[in-house]
Amino acid sequence: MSDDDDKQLSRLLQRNLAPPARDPMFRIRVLERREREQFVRRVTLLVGTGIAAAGVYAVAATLGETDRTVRGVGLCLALALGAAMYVPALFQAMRGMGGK
Amino acid sequence: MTSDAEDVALLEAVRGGSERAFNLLIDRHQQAIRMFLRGVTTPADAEDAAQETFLAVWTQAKNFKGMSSVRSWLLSIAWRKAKGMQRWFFRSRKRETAYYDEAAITGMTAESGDPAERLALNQALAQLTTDQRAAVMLCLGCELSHGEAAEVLEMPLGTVKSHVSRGRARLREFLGDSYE
Repeated sequence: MSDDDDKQLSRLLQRNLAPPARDPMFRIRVLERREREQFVRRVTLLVGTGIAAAGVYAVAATLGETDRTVRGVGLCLALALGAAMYVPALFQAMRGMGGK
Repeated sequence: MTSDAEDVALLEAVRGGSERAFNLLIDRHQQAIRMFLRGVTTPADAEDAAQETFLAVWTQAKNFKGMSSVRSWLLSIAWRKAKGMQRWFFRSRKRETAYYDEAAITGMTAESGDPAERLALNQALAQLTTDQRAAVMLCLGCELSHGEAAEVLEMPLGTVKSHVSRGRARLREFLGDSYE
């Protein structure tokens, strides 16, 4: 098989399968998808943390039905968990609003 | 700066969270990645895998070790994505429907060139095994060396050479002299 054959085949493949060299729509689709995936990830994390914090408090409240200290520790843990997730998200949202 | 060095610099910047570098990297490589994927899989899967390839670049830029060119690294991600998609037939059908629905609205599939020639080429490519198509697309379509293609496909060099040789022969046999 000669180099000319390969060149012809290369040209045929490129002519029929290559998209335009510049395709801003493709870039926009990638960026849009990235934003969507980041949003879903953030929401999942926030909802998951909320559920975990509620779970921690529920367990502590059940175990410490008569013991206020255990319940207090549970509440603190739940608040700490919530704060660790929500406060950075809140700052990020505020920064986002400030930037616009 | 050479093209390769520029790519590495862009990837470094992407690692640091640069949007501009990410956009440039997409612009520089989308054509090769999408052409390769169009040759190895369906149009819908190709589009999806190409997008996923660049999303992986955004999240995994730190995984680039510099052992190959950035383009080879991107093609190897694209190849893994394409192979992964073929395992999920039903999702692939769903993507196909969504792709043609969107294409009908945006005219996404409108390509230049001769439709008859494209049809003949697609039929010819369908005669090859997936590995043969991938090897042919890399070596002839993307003009990589056999060694680079072997790295991308994670196959021995001899296997790639054999895939290219057989693939080329079958394409030629199927297409005849129609493409000259």
